Amino acid sequence: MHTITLSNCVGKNLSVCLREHGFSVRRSCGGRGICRSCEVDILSGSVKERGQLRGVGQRVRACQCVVDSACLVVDTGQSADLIAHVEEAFTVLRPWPESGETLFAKARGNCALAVDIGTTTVAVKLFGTHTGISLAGAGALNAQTQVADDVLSRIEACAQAGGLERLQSLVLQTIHQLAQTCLDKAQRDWGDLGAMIVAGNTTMGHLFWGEDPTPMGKAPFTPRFTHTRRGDGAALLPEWAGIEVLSLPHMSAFIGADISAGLWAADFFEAQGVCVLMDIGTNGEIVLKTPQGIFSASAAAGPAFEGYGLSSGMRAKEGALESVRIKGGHLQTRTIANAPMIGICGSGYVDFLAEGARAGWLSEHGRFTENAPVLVHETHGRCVVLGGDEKAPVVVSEADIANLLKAKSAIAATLLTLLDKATLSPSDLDSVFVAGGFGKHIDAENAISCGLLPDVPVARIFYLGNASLGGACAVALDKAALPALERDIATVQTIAVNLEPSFEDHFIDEMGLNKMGENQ
Amino acid sequence: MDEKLTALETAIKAGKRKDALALTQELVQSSPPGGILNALISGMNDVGKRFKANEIFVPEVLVAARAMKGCLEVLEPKLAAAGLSPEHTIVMGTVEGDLHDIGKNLVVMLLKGANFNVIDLGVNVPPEKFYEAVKEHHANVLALSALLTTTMPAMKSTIEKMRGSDLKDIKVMVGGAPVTQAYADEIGADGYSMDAASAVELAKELVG
Ligand code: B1M
Repeated sequence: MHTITLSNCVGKNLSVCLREHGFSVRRSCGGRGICRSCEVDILSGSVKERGQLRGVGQRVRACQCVVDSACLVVDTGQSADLIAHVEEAFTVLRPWPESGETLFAKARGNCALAVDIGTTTVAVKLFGTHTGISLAGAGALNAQTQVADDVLSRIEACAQAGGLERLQSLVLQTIHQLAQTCLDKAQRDWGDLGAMIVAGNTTMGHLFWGEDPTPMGKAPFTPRFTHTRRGDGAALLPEWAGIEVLSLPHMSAFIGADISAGLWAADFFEAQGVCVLMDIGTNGEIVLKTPQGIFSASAAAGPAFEGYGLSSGMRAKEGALESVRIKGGHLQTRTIANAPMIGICGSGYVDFLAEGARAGWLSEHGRFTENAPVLVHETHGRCVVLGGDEKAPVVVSEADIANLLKAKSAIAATLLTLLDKATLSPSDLDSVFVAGGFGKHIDAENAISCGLLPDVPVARIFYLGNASLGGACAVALDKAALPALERDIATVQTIAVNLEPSFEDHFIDEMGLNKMGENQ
Repeated sequence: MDEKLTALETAIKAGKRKDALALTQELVQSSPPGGILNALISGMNDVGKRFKANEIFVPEVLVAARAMKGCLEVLEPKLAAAGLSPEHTIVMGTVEGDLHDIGKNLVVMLLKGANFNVIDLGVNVPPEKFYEAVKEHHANVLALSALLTTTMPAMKSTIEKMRGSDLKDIKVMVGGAPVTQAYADEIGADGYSMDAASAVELAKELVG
């Protein structure tokens, strides 16, 4: 239970009011009233949901409601920080530069800030400009989520007057506050901060610099710029005057600087053999290196593996179901910190899919079989209960599974389509680099058996964590890095997978609970 | 022979594309194409019904539609040769700026499965192209799909183009994940449907 009291909001949209009160309500469907991810319970007062009066005890979709009473109290079910998972940890596989000149040799002070601007969250790391020693880190929800959830909806918001300025100012404020937190933790002042190195997807890069992203909203998806940009912080925020700000280069509209940085962190261009970097998030970026060339594509998976739009989805946090085993027809579950189960995070879903198929609970199309302890729930439909209580059961429904399979299939089909370009198959991969917070917690064997990761020996899979942040730090510590990275990413070809005839077939084949490429 | 037709219907329902294709290839040698079409239609009809009743989901429908697609490719020339053409024509496409077509292809297959003549213009289709196709094929219905928040306005401009032309009375239906009934009303569409199965019902209503 998490209550929020709203006063003087009569006539305004409830989800907008909640956001203005600092609660980042989920709207996986972009506020169209479809996904139910923004549902709240009314504890006092009333609203009009699509014109119908709703009051105490009723559950409503916040995005469809107009506040009707001067004082309104709602229960949002979970607190805002359950929604966004901020990944700050990273692993840099590249040999750390030992000595030599760093990127910001002439910057003032002795600290620099690496910034990863994610669509949902922003993570920063304060480090010694020349030593590379980590001084402090911090992460927070990207304040732009007040305006819209996903990249395309933010681009759409820029089509309206003042939209771009508002989004730019929100992200700069988020970064500014995180920088302040780090400086405080490390007992430094703004005067010590000489440089900022920024990575993020291409849209985030545009919004950071105040460049219009709208041409990226429609085909042919053309960014205004992709190159490295540098400038004095004064151009962004008055308080940043004197700070050297540099943003890393993007590859295309949907393969951004976060991936460029990730490739650097993975030492991707130097790695032996056929290798792939996969970022298993909403946009599912994939870069594949083969003897025939380096290909990249964005898989547009949607946020299912982040728990969005699912009956009991949540981020990896206390009380999230993170591991599932089905032994002899019985469920064995484990939650993070062994806390009472309140929801399911990505790793729990991956386990459920793989174990469910293995135990014969799930058919190859992801439907429950007669072996599964299925129950028909009034809102969730056919589902299996994994925990929780009568009032708030934690369930996986057939509709959830269909959503997860769609997201998985988008990722698998994109990788298979890229492999087709070089007539390779998943087992030809020598290294699989998994970027993003998701990878670290999943059971690799299970991810392989349900086809989310390619079928290779687990020793070939490397988890990078927040590779965008890691890569940004690594680039800052070596003056030679940036020109090398710019040269290397210029060799990456962006593939529009929808134009590849094999994509649709792969997308359909991969919708089942099979290993990647097994159904071809 | 009837046995083979029943087997074809079953293969479509189960999405067994190789079986369905082999059966169609065999059947076209000896059987009248109209009967084969009816088997495909009743198979697909059943799939649509179960989809609508939430008994099956998108993955299974996609598999069935793909099986049907292969069969239709074999059957269509025979149907044309036999002079069997559907009564109603629908022009369909994904609007300008949008390249998503898997959902649209599914709607196309289900419409074909309900015996509509569907002219599929593909993706990234500008308003003028929709206009020209509707005119050329004397279509009864124009069906627009969009999957991106940012390309929904292209539905609006396509409808404006039609309404401002000599074809202003054409029935326009819209759909796609981000589209809602409210948006359809706002842009003056004649109908909205949430999924491929309801799109078929809507199309029947619009021509009825
Ligand atoms: C006329 O009447 C009607 C009636 C009903 C109609 C209708 C018309 N049209 C559809 N329907 C309805 O009937 C169908 C069946 O019931 C349904 O159709 P659907 O299309 O909804 O369902 C299909 C059967 C299956 N579903 C799909 O085919 C869409 C699935 C997802 C995963 C998806 C896919 C597969 C793709 N994508 Co795209 N993609 C996503 C999707 C995320 C998701 N998890 O859903 C979505 C739609 N994509 C998105 C984006 C942003 C993009 N995609 C892009 C690209 C692609 C792929 C090429 C990888 C591929 C498309 C391949 C193709 N040939 O179509 C990008 C474009 C780049 C480029 N170069 O093309 C890019 C623009 C950027 C990116 N991150 O990659 C997002 C849109 C967000 C928004 N707010 O608008 C998205 C929701 C994923 C996300 N990031 O969250 C109904 O909507």
